[in-house]
Amino acid sequence: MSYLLRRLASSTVVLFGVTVLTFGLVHLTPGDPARTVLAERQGRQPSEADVREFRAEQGLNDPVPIQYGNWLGDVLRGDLGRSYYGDGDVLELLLAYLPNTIELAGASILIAVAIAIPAGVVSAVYRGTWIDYVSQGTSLIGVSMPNFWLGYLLIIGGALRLGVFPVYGAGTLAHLVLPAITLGTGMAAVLTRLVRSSLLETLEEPYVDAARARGLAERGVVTAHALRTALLPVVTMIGLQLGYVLGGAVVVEVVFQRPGLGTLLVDAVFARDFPVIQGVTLLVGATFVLVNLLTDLAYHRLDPRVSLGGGRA
Amino acid sequence: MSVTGVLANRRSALAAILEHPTIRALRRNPSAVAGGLVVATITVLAIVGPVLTPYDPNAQHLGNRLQGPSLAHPFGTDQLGRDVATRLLYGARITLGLAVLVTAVRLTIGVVVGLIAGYCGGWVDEALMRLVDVLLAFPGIVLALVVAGILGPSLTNLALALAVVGWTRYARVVRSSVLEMRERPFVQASRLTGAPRRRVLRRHVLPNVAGPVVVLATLDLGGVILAAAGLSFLGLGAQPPAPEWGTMLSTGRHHLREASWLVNAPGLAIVVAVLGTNLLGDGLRDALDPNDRTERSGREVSRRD
Amino acid sequence: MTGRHTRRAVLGGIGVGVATFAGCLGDSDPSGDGESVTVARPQSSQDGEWDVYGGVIPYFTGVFEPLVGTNHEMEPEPLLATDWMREDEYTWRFDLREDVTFHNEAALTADTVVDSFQAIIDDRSATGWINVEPDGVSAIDDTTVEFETIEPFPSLPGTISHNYFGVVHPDTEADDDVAIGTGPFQLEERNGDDVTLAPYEDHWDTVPSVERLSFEVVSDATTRVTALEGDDVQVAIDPPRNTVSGLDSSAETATASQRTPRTCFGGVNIYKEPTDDATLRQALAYAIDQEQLVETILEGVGDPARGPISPEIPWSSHDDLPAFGPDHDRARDLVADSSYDGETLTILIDGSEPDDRNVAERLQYQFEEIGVDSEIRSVESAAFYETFTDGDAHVSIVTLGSNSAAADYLIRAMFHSEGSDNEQRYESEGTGVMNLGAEVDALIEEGYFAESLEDKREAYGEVQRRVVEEAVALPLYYVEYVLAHREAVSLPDLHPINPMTDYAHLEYEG
Repeated sequence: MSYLLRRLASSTVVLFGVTVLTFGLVHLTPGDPARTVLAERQGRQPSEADVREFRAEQGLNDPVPIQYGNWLGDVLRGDLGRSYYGDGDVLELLLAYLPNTIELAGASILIAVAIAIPAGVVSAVYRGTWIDYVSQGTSLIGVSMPNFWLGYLLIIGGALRLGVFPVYGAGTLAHLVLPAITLGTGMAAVLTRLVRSSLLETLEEPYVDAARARGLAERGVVTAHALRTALLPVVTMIGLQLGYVLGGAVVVEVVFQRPGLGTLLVDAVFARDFPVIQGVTLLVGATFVLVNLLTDLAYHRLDPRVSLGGGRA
Repeated sequence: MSVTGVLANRRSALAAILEHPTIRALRRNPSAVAGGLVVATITVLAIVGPVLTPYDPNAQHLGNRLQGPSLAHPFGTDQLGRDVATRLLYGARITLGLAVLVTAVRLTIGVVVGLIAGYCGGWVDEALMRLVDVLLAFPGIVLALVVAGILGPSLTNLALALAVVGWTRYARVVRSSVLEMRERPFVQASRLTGAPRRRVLRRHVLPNVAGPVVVLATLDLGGVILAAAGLSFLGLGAQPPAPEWGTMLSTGRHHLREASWLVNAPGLAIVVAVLGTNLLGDGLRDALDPNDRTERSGREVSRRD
Repeated sequence: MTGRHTRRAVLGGIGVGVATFAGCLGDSDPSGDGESVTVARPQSSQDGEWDVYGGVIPYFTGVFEPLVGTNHEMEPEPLLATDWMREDEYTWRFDLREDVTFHNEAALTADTVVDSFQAIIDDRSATGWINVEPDGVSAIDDTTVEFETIEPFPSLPGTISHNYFGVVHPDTEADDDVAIGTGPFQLEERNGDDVTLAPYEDHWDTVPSVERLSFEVVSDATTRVTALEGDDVQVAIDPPRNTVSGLDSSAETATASQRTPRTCFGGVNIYKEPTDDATLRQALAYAIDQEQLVETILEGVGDPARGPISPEIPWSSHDDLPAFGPDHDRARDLVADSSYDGETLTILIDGSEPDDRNVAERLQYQFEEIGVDSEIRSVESAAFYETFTDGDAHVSIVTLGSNSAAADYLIRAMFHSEGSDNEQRYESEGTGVMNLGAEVDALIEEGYFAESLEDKREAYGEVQRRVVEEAVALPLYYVEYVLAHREAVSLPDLHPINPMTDYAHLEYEG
């Protein structure tokens, strides 16, 4: 129980830090956001009166801690502010973009798992053979591949040459294929290595040897005993990969011009649309902290070797 | 001292290095050798590049624009008729320089923070580690994107953004090493004898931390190259006409249909460079720490974070 | 970077699904039955297209009509107003057309026009633009509307001949996708950025011959062409330039292009060393090869420019302006004569515009050939304008033009000391960016208040001559746009302003 409390407390602290960081980021900006935003909005240099009005409207004249307090209060009430452009409510924007990104992340994880588990298992079982080398080599290349290039290779091959898949946009299953392959294969490369090493490790555990000694066939040993244990860290890893999927989604969404949190963030960064930047980073950061917390708690539940009282260093 | 003496000295020094147990382990490790060769080749190419190519990376020949790969232009020419291969060669300097610089800054910040946290303990440790947690709550590229975007596009800002968000892993590794060291009998002994902290650090802690940090840094190089290329691709990197690989790929995509080499050549260059550093990193880790199987997970390999 | 996605575009892509053009997996659009026409358009980089009318529909769709139109010569022409006159220096009166009804059959009255203008002026803070306060618009009788300007404003009719000022019926409800205008098309359906229109049978002038007209956002230019080739769409706006000749030679497709009132030029900061030296600026002008820019980087889509004002604008003096170069020997001599001493010039570009980037790299190269060093500074689109007017750069690659029949603000914005490009530094430092000083200011004011086009042409012509001769603006090219279409579509005559394309006169025999 005390572990749970401590874990919750530290997550809260981190979450608080996430809000400070999110809020603080945009105050790094050189130049006056009011001027920049108005210039972009009106397509010409804003008048001083407009700038003053905008600053007052957006509370930009208050001292920074006050601005932070106001902002946090609003956030806690579910009000993430409004985009500087148009009339978009930031929360609404996030909720509208989120499904596309979740869809992409989910599909990519599926692809990654579908590739990584068989590849990792085969690689471990045939350790040291050419099969292992091919699998390891491929995953190393996968790890080293910039996903924007992979994306364009797929566009050239799958869309421009074959004409099979739509290149840009979102909405149908067909739109999902190329981006999900791009993001999924990169992740598969990481996971394959993990599955392999994790399985190799378990295969050397005494109880697996015991199973072998009882005369179980190697295939049985692998599937019945080793794999189950070996996949535990893999599952945790998939949870932790969420952050990396989101990071990768930024670039992949831009390559495929796919509406999602990534394109939303990139556009907001280039337009200096601070409320939207804050909204996306906050959402991403908070999600990560929560997923981390849940993964940790689940891990403590599942793995009897981790003592609940002691915590970890 | 005579010239031959110096040479002999050098040679024996070189032999000593080559025979050092770590280096010997490295030499027996195929992935380290392959990675080392790739990295060395790119480095050499970056340095002697100008000698290898008859072209100026910025020389425009509009009559020759968008020419496909040929003997004269192995990777074709771009939309302004510049030789792509030459630009890649010059770009290697930017890519490698940036990767080394960013990694060095990350390493420095991380080591200092890790040492302070591990050595001071208490609330200092707590505060620094929560800061690390906060930074880790964001995918690195997201945070770097926001920081670089807010500072404005330039190589310096890109390097700054990548360095500021990426030092956390070093801090964690160093901190846990320090914690571990502190419990070792010889460290406790020297502390009991009243040796100053700094000496304990230098004598016992730093040497033990160096191995894992070097491995981490080598693996990190690839990650930095990928992240830098990714952010440049998004438009936050080098200013034109600098032949930065990610930027080249990004400009090339406007000619995807008729000149796919403009995308593929820089893409290939990035893969080779990252592959080289990853191989080297893998090999280094195995050589320095052959027992550490648990860490041999994919997580350690640099990714697009 | 990709073009900026409008927020609405993205919202539209969600759940609705952009039709799957290249795909055999997605369902293909059932249009092309001879009755309906789909126009594939790029996502606009200007959110502005959606900013009016409460965001119910983009302004180029022909659903709403302004009082004054813009003819192909870029002059004001009667639309919902049949006539207008200047009562006194501050007052304009517009007579409304009498047989006009809104899509809900309500008649157009002076009161609706007043309401509509007040809402737009309020909403869009348009006072600084049209010089009219919200309460400066009033109904004199049922068919006469009066505008009271805050300063003498001779170009009011041209200024309001902009799609922004379409007359909106008060029952228009953006949240429910109800758009009630007077135009030849009425809104049938809207999905995010995609809209489908149907003819308005009781239009006062033209009833479109097509049964349906849809605008779909297809952000990628190549995909727009693929869609056109597959007959998924019948018109594609701005295909990639390198596909134009192929589309023309195909039996199924054709293209039409039109020069716009927009000009891309290098705006030189004449108050920053060393470009404060006119000799150096002229050297730069002699270094540039406009024709080559257009033929190579723009692949022939565009016209080499000689001045900052496109010939589409009635008072452009393109024909009378000197062409400088390219003459690199001359340029080198001028550099030698100038005060230039090896400084590095800064060329500012908006990083989201790939053409600007290529143009800047070309300029940098040509400057180097005449012995002038420069570096390119690419900034995010949001920071571009501020950086430009802050005077941080020596040369800024700017594209400016008019979207209405009053282009006066253009020349004022660029070259008048109190114009928006110069105002900031003029007021704070007494300098500016591209303002040559009191004489040019006076000429601009003279043109601004000129009653006849001849007088305007004379005053503004002198301004253009001076800024070109003094190399304040380095003209690069006049922007052109391209519409690709199925052979079965006959396009109306293209309007210089792309959003004013008269789709009511488009015909289709599918």
